[in-house]
Amino acid sequence: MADVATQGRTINEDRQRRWRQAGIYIALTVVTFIMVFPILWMISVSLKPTTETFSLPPRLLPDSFHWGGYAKVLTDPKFRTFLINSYVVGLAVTALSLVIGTLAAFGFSRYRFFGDRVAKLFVITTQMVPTITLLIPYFGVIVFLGLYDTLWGLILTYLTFALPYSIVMMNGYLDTIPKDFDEAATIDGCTPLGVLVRVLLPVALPGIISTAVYTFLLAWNEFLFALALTRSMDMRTVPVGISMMVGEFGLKWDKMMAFSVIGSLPVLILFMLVQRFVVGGLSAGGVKG
Amino acid sequence: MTSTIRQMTTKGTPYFFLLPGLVILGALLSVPLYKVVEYSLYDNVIVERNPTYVGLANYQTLLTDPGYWSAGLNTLLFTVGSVLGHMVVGIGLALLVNADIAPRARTFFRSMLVLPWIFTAVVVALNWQLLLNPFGLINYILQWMGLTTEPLDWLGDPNLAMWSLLLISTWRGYPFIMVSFLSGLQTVPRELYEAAEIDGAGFWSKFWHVTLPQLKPVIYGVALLDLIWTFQLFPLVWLSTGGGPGRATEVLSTLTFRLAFVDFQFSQAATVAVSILIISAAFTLLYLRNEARRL
Amino acid sequence: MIKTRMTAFALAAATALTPLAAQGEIEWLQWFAAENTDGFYDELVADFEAKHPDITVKLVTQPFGKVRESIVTDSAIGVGSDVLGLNMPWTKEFLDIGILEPLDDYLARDDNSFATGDLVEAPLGKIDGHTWMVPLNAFPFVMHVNMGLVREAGFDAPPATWAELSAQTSAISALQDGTSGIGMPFSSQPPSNGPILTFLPLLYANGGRIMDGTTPNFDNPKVVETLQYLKDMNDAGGMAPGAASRTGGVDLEEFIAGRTGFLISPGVHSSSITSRNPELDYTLVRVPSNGENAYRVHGWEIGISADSANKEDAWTFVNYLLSPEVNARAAKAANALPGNLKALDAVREGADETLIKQMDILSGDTPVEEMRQSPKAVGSWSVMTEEIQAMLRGDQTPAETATAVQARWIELAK
Repeated sequence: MADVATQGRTINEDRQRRWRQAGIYIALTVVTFIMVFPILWMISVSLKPTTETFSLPPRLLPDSFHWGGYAKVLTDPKFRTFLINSYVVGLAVTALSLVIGTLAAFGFSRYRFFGDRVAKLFVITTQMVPTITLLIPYFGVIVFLGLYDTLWGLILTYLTFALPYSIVMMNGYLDTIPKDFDEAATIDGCTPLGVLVRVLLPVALPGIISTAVYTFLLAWNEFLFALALTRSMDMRTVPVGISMMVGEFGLKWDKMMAFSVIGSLPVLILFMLVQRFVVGGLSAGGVKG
Repeated sequence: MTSTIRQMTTKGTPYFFLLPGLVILGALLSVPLYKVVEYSLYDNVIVERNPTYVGLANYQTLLTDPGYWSAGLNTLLFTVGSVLGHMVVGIGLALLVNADIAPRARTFFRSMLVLPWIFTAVVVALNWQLLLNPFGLINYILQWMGLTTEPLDWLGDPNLAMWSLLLISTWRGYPFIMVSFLSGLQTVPRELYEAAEIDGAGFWSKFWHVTLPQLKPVIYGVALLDLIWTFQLFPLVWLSTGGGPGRATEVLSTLTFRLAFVDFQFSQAATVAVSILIISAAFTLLYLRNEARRL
Repeated sequence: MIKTRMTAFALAAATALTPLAAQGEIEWLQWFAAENTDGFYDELVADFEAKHPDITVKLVTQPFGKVRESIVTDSAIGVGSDVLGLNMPWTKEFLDIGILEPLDDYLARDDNSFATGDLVEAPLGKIDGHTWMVPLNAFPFVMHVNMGLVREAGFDAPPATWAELSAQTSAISALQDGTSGIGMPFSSQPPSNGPILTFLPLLYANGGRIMDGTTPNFDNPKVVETLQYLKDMNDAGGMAPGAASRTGGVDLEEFIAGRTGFLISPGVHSSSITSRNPELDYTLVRVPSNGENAYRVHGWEIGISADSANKEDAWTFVNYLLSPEVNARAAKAANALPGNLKALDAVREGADETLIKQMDILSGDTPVEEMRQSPKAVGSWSVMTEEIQAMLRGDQTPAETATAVQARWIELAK
């Protein structure tokens, strides 16, 4: 008798859980559709001749697929250069800012020391001046360093944009990890760096990933400095390439959207891969609390 | 003796960790930051070959300019609205996408929801211009659903433009909060939820009593940065509305740009920039003090 | 002082670390190669280098919307390009910053490949006593016409006068939902220059002006009359809705898609229109007027940077661009009229009807370009945009609009 009752309850709970799941799926699908809708329109524009984009009534599905925009982008070697530059810059900035930022975040999170608040204030202060006003003096510094019209100039620039973020965010993520972890490891004979690398980083992995995503996208999307600090076609990045299509005499809508879509696909795939990694790291991350 | 050395190295350790970051930031940004402040004390730099030192005259001009105050008010509206939008949508979606569903579905939804973030501002702005056009898809859908009878000029009507801008900004900015919050969620020890469940806590109760307190450091960090950035967000606003119609969506960052590169009044622009710096710094100090109390 | 220090510091760096100022190498900053993407300018530069083996030209291409900023920024840091692609409205602003080299002495040389008298005149006009730029090509502002819509609305010829334009715009707007007589791009989105694209051509065709030398003169009866005309056209429904958010780009696309009857813009658009929508029953006419045959002239100009270390080589290159043979090629590549009128015949060969019509306008009517004299030209047209938006919304009368623009413009120019 008792068994049947328990069974009944579990079946009931199971059903409840399934209903809840269905509800979540429906909610997610609806919300995702709304959020992705503008992107669908973007793809639609990339697949239509421009006259169709502007004809009435507006339609999401093109009459027939027009691959002209994609063909133009894929056959022009310039666009390949822009893509490669953007990825090189983005990945370099991400790697550098993760290493340097995590070290600094560890310092802020695990130590109280003389000048810690001043240092932190300085780090955040660098983010407070609108970058357009920094542009001219900053440009002077880059020319002074001989980094004008080089990818290194861009990498260094985005590093200074990304570091404050990496530091503040990694500091936040490290703060969520109880200090008992470090103490246990220190007693086991770990150096501070050892504690960071062996104990804290695995737990903070999801945070590292999201910081990496942010850093990469910052470099990937930036336009003002990319334009000012480079001048050869060989050094230009995707946003600059896209802005070139916004001409004095009209805009190449299909080509612009096609290039955006092509450029973003690898980013999306990268993000998917990294996401799985986070989900995988979840079980490891859930270590003893 | 050994213990003193050890003490010294321990004391030196945090500086060692901070050094690379501070050196890079200091080397590249301290001169430009200083320059911006210096610019604001001259009559007009860049344009004048020999600018004259005018002290705080530019600040006086600025504070008596109604355009500055209305841009300031718009900035406040835009910043508060955007950050609220980012937070509510971002955290809501993070919770939804973190729910107990198949891992593949989870990866799919997460990746789709991050899409608004991976396009450069020019494309985002131009795409929304098409969508929000009086004959664009959004008006078409609204009329088809019977929600509106006339096409609305979302970006051209002074009463609607700020709302449209907030919509664009929320759409563009929520993935950042979502991803950060999602990562934070993974570091919350599962035992805490289990303990709460044993106490009979429901979804909201768990959210209020476990998730939020656990993620406070992350939320604080994200909110602070989002506020600072949105406060001076430029490309998206400039490319979506150009501060218009009239000056209905003019914010401090577009005013800075207008002064610098439309009117070539670089010193006035630097003055606005410094005012942004002062407001942000005051806010950050408040935050840091709060943080110190928390720890 | 700051600027000199900054320049000195940048120059020291530039000479020490980069061969920017190497003898015989010049940079050409322009947006033309971004408009014409089939590699024409790379070939042009290669051709020049073949003829002048001691000079190399580096093509620096920027999107049009950023060129003005880049020229100022580069010059502030001391890394400005030698040869600059220019837009006439920037002239006075750039002079005030000291960016441009006066060209009078170069133009007076007798070994030039062209005669100064053959060049399109507008950009040469002296400001502050000197000539600052020369024309690579020229575009008269015209009105593009969708004859299909004109006929459907019951007319058999495109409008030639203001009265005809009003009648036809209202009739076309009444045809069906989503079709409008004319588009007016008065949005604030950068470059926010709708008034100079549409309002000024109409004003000039009405015999009006907005400048008195280098002083703004916006508050005058002709301006008010033209503003009133726009307002009436809008109130009668002839104008496409959403003017306050309409960009030049959207305006062009809607015309190409067949949704507006008329488009006032540079004649150079005719090639985009015919190539992108060959089905359109399309023609081009001079901007409807009240008997005044004056047109706004626009074009791509060339100047030399005052800070250039290689002005001689820079002039050699400019000289090359203006020779009738090269100039004709450049005009054809841009589907524009040549800056050197000696090249007209070469351009006329094989030109289509729309280009021939533009040539007639160029040879018969009065060209006007006032923004080049304007201090704060770019700021001034943002002001016009904002005030015209308010007028079309019904917040102020045309007379109030003219007064408001004048007051704000004077304030800006101070």
